[in-house]
Amino acid sequence: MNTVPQNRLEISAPPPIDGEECSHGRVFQWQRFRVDKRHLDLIGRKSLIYLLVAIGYYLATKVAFALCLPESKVSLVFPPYALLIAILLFVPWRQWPAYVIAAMCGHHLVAWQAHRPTLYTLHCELFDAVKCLLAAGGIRLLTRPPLKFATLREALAVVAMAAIVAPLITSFWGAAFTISNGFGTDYWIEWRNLLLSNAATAIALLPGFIIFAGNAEDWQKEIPWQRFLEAMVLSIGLVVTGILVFASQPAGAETSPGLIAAPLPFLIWAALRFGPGGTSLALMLGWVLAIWGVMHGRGPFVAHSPTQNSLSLQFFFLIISVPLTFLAVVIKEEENSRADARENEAQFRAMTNRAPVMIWKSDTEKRSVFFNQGWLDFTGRTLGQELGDGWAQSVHPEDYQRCSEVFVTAFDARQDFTMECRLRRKDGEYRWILASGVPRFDPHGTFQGYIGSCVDISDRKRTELEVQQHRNELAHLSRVTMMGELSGSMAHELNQPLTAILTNAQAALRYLAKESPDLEEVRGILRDIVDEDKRAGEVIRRLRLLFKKGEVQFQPLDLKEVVEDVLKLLHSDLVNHNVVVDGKLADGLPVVSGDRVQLQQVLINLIVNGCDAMAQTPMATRRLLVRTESANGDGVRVAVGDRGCGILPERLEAVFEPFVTTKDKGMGLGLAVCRTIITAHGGELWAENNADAGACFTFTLPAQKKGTA
Amino acid sequence: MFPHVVLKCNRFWRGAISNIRRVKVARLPVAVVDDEEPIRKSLHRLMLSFGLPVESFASGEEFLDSLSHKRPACAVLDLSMPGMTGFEIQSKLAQANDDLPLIFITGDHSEDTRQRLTEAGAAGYFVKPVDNELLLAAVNEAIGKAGELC
Repeated sequence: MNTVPQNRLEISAPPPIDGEECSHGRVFQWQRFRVDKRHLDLIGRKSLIYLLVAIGYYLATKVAFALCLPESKVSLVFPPYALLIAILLFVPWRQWPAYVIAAMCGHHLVAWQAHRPTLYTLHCELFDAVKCLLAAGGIRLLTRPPLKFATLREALAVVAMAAIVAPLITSFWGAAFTISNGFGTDYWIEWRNLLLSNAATAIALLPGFIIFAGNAEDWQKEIPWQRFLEAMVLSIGLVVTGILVFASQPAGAETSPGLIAAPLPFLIWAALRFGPGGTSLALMLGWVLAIWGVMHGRGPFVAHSPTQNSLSLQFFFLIISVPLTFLAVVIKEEENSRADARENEAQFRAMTNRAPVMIWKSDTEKRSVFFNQGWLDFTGRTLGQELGDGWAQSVHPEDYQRCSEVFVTAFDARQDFTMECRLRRKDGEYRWILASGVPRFDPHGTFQGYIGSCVDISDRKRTELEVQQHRNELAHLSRVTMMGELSGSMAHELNQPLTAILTNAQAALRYLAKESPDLEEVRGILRDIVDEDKRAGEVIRRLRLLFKKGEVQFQPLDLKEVVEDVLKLLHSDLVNHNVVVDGKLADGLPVVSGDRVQLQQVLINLIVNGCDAMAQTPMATRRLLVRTESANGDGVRVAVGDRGCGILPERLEAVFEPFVTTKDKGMGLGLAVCRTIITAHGGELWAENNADAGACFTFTLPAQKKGTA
Repeated sequence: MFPHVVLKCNRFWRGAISNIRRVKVARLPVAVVDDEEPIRKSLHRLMLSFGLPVESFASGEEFLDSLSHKRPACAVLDLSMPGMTGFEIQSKLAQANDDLPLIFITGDHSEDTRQRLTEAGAAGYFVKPVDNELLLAAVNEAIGKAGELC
């Protein structure tokens, strides 16, 4: 056993030695010694394993030789074959040659004791080695470690490679050299014997070996006494029927062929309850009894020549074993997947119950079937109360109708949904929650119901509200400041109708003082006075709205109307600045949802800014473009363009920053507030320079969605 | 006593003469220039109620154009108008050596504006809203001046 050089490769480097200690030669020597000792330990342990393999193979071969029927060199079963494959399957590739050599040493010893010719023995060993390597290599290639013989794939790989492919291929060679060495007479009979012997071995022993080695951790488990009892009853039943069928009756014409099915119930029992391992053990027990029977001339298979007997025994067991083994594997696989599903379910529950959100599940009929601990803790109710439609009692009565509509619509269309509603907490307070759900489908695409989550968003909502309030306050402050700056123009705007009224009234008085007053004229004057008074009232109404500090009211708005209102309000200011407004206001714009006052504020800001920007522009060219148009059919775009000096390109974005101003007076909040307002309306506000002269401020607002108020 | 009578006489005659003059020149209309229709209309009416012929214009350009074929006795103008402002009309007339009396009505009551207008020789300056008696007096004075010059 020349295994030492191989083992050297496996030895890890000695532990690093401290630099300080290294300087002392003595310590270094001692370390060297220890490393050597570890080497020896490893070599010794490995050698022991190879020795055990050799001994095992020796014993297995002894059994195989003992199971040789008289007048035949072929055994009924050949345990060394299964043993070596099993060993090879659980050791690394690189160590295969060593294990094969160790095993062949065991075989050689047996052959030497049996006085077999050396050359023939060596040939036999080469044949066995190739056969085992072929089978083990095939299984290795077709399966993924760790091999447990627990799935159908593994079972198929083992049976295909070890029981069919490897024996089939090697039997041609084996039969040829058996004949050429003077054993046996007919090539095809030898071929058939070899094939069946190896196949029977692979079926009878290999699963057992693989399960034994591959499920080592299972052997540690404690077996409940009920299970132990069941196994005992099964074994006794099997042994009793086995003895009855295979060993008790002497061979002869009276042997009942029907009896050979007697152990079958016990074998099926083993397959159903004890998995592939139990089945394998039960089949081995059957084998032992049947072989003993055949060897001692008892049982149903003893009828003709020993070769014929062994053939019928092998056939019988192959036919019984293959389906039972597969049955046991399939059942095991099913059990494992069910256990996996149970494990997943347990994990899901553990996870959902610890999750900081509320989770629910519904069946295909909109009935709730699950609520996690988070939900139950929130509502303070029991699972039993919530199941079915019970949860609906916690929803705020005002929200219930809306929520159930959203839910039912989405559910029937099998679509995701999200909604906000109020849910009663266990302390009685209604909290805003964000609920969402997605449909569940199994792998075949069958609808399984919904799963969803709910998150308490009350705090978030309150923060949002506060932010909104601050924004509105700032907008109001900025608006009041702006109106203060415009007060001169505003006063003028109010003065105009008052002037007209006074002049008209005085003219009327003079008419009436005449001897024959023209009453028709006076009536016309009074009519004009009424009109002018109304105009003054309008101005006051507009001003009051702008100064008012009220709730933001989103309402459907026609932007054209809003722009016209603002232009009227700013008329005097525009005239004072000698600015001519070039209004291009499209009709039939999409209706937008917005706060009239805040949008007016934005427009006033932009228009006043445009006028200010043209202070240095020659009067003849002071034109302000105000354009409203439909934006991509899905909103409104409003542009205010001046003919001033424009904005430096790198400042185009900076003008929207607070406290950035180009004016002598003013806080620089106007445009910052404008952008906040437009953003809060879901739109955009930006600045750009016109191609020829001046800057253009544009904002867009989304069209109001149909069906929302 | 005599001098008193003479004085009285003088006053009477002077009044009579001025009345005759007024009647004579009053055939020329007062021009009203304001861009805003309601104001223009009301001023137009007021002038009529004073018993004065009147002609209205919606802009400075319109008014200046009319001067070539029909000359008014005086003009009542709005100071801030889109296009040509009151100041511009005043300077245009000054350039043309036209001394047509100009009475301005404005919403802007800053001292600067008043000073600027008076220095340029305005016949009147009123801040809106205007009292009719004051306006009548100013118009009459302007017409009188214009009449004396005729």
